[in-house]
Amino acid sequence: VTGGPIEAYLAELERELRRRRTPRRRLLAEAEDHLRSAADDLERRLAHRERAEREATRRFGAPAVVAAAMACAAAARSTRLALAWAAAAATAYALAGAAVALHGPSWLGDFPHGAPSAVAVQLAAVALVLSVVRLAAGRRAHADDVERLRLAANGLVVASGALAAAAAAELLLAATRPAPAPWSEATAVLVVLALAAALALPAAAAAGATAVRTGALDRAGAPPSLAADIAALAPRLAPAAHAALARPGRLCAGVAAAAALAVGTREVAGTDYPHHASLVLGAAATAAVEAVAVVACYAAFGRALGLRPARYRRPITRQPS
Amino acid sequence: MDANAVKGHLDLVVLASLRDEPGHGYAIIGRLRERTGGELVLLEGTLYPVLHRLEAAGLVASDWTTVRGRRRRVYRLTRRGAAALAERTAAWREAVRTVDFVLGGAA
Repeated sequence: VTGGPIEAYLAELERELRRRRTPRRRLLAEAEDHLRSAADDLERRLAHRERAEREATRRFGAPAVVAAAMACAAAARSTRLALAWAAAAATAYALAGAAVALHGPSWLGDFPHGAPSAVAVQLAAVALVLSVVRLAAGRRAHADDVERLRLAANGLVVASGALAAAAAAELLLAATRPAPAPWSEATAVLVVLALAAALALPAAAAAGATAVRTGALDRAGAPPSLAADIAALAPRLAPAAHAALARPGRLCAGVAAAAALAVGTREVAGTDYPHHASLVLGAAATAAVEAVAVVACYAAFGRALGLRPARYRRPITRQPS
Repeated sequence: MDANAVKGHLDLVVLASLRDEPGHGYAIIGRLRERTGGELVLLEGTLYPVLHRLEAAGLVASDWTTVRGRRRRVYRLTRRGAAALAERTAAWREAVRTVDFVLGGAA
């Protein structure tokens, strides 16, 4: 170690990469080779080693700029990996649901059993679709957009967290069922469900790590709107997307009403006594729970998922002393 | 030419620089400088995130080599990368033709 400009530059680059929680070893090795090769070439022209090294580091770019670009690329890779985990967990959960519905005993056929689990599965599906839209739009633009990545990572955290919560709710409901439930009849489907639940944990861990990484990226202004991203992917849907997402509150109310209607109708139609007052009341209560859940999820996660505009942050201004 | 002018097309430029032969980062910068007659001014360090992203997308592959005692990562175009290069080159030429048509009409 000579302590010249290249060493100082690499030390600063390492600090900037560390600050952004970005893998360092490979980039630092490549940067060192690049800088020394450039300095060797420049030294022949400038006949001065230190000046050559300074010029090489200047051409390489400020450490903060290089680290920011590198952090963005690393966050993009990490987000795609987390997407793969979340998609695998969601697929496994769906397959578990199908296995229960098709091959489970009749008393286990009403999967998912609990309202928390049903809400979590719906939330996971919406969050996963939004993340896929954000990442696909970024890929189409051939650029890693920091704010798109942040929204996609948020979506993956919500999706995998919701799947993990759904699995936990199912296990909790199973554990608190009356003792006579004949669990031995459903060993195979329970194993599938347990595997799906187990897959949600690494998915949640990968999504969490990605969210931390994207959280450390430099802010890059307002994210592209969801309507614009949908329009970029499916131009035919552009007018509908713009119209629907122009008033997200109204869209949320519409979705809540439609979901409540669907849930209520399904519950009434699924009984042998559809006109019985208590069943109708029960279905209405379930529909109301569904509507409240949709609105609550929108209120809780709408901003993180980019459905609602982010709160305006007043820039910090320092008073002259 | 500022790198911002080709922002969004940097992947295409880097893929094209690997079309004929593999190369490490510094060599790629040299090729870009040579082929553009020094017109494209790129912050050299920002090439590496592009290369890493292309590798993650399977468009380039890379290996470590040692040259004069110095470790060096050499990148090469994959088959998928060659296909992506052909596709993006065609899209770029089409876009240029369209814009040229408009500019020519306005002149």
